[in-house]
Amino acid sequence: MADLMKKKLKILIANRGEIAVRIIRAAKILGMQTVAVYSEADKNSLHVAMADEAVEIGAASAGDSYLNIRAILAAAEISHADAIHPGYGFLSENAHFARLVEEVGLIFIGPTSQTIEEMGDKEQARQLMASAGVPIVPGSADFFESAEIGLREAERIGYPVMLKSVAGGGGKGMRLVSQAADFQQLFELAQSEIKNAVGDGRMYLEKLIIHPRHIEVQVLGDGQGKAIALGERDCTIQRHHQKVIEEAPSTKIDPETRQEMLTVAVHAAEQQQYRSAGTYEFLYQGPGQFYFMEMNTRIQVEHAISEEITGVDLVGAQLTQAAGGGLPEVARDNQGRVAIEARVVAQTAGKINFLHLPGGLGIRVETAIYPGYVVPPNYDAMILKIIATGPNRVTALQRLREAIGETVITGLKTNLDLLIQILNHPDFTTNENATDIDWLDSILDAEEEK
Amino acid sequence: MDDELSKIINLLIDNQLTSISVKHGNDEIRVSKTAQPAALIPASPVQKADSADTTNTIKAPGVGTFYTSPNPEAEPFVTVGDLVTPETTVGIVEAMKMMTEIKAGLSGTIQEVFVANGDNIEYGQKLFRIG
Repeated sequence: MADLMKKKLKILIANRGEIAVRIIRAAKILGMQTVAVYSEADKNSLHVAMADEAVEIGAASAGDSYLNIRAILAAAEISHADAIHPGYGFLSENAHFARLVEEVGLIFIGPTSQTIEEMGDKEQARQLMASAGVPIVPGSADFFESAEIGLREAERIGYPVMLKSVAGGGGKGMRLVSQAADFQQLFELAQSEIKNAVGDGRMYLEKLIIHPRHIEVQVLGDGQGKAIALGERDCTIQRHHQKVIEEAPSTKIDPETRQEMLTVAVHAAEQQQYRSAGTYEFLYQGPGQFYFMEMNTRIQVEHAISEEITGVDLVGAQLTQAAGGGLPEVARDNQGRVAIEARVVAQTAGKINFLHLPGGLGIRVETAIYPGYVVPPNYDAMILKIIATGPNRVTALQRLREAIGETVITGLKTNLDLLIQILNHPDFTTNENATDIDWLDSILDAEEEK
Repeated sequence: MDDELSKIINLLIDNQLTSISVKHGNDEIRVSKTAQPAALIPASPVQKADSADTTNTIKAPGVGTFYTSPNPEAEPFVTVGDLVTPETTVGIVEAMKMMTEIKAGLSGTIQEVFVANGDNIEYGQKLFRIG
């Protein structure tokens, strides 16, 4: 193990906020040197203070700084960094950036630029997954312009189906068809709508997945055909397609389907010769019914809950692998451990006056805020992740509730109250867990109407 | 007198006083200590030394290696005492094998040069002071 780190890599973190802190921490634990990059607005950021070196790369706007490929590569050049960790968001799934990093002879901590490109194209990703034996959302074999072909395809896929137009957007040329009897009429309505708008009458179908759960599988690949899964995460609690609460493992999937999802993901990762960390996202509708949605070819915000139940440092594993090490050992049995994460979001920019963060057994916080810190308006609003782990879901929930209740942040508005609301809602807390990906939206929209 | 002064100063410190005055006839000694406000919150992690005047400085437009001249054999673009206008080239920043000219961006006379040929520079770094 000791000669794993033949070379002490110098890592440049092409990111900011809590994930930059996370990566710097993992790098320090492994004895690696770190270089932070920052915008004009982030001079007083925690990640800048924590890194061994820091380079100011541009003005406050993301385009001038954290998305500024030239400035980031220049920073790597002058600091003599060996590798770049892109974090999540920003350039993490920019195939062009990954390619440039490779071209200048640096290590990109993530998959190859080719993988990023393939999985970034939704249609290409679907084809690739289908050929790797991964179930994809059933859809029409091709585009069509006649109702007859459409009807035949709809019968094959099974109702209800979403009828969509190739040229459509914002709901134009889109109709939900629940039964065969309605198909002809809805098809004619949808097609004429889009044809009148843009002159393109090509249509296609997708099976409508009802009340799905969002289940994703965390993988780590060595880039040479071997991959492991670190369990699944249930990210069903979303507001306007933004994840709010995530948990690992999922309490709603049966052991057989879980095993199938993990196997399918590992197999796909090995087929792709996937390198570093990645996540396969699925829509789950019931036992045996899961469909590939997309793949995130990077480390994710919610990676920490998988770390808590498996004991594996995922970011550390990425860094180790970049330095020439192999994949970590993962225990087969997590002994029933459950980890739940709540994302705390700033609803206004501002200066944090008072801050109290929670603690206790099984409580972990990931953040870059501190008392006196000014949260800039230019970037993502998430300022803190609170993760609670317990020997079962009930205990994890109790710990998370207590931790959120204990948290005090003054100087700006946050969603702490909403989090408490969710963590006390019977739909979420009981074993029935009668939630789906539209649940939070429907609860909050109903409240707003009052 | 020195002895007495030392004693008074020690008294001040030992008893955590803020001032003592001693009068002998027409002579008076007063010793006082400026109050030190307690630090209520820890200093923010990064205290970047903020130079007083940044309005008349030419700052780096990007990250890279700074060159004072168009090529290694040539004279520097500018030296102290030179007059510049916004369009005057004052240096080159190189990154990823690409050279970018740095323009003065303001008018005046070069008063001070903060960087040397071959230095690494970052965005916003002070390069020249203009007067």
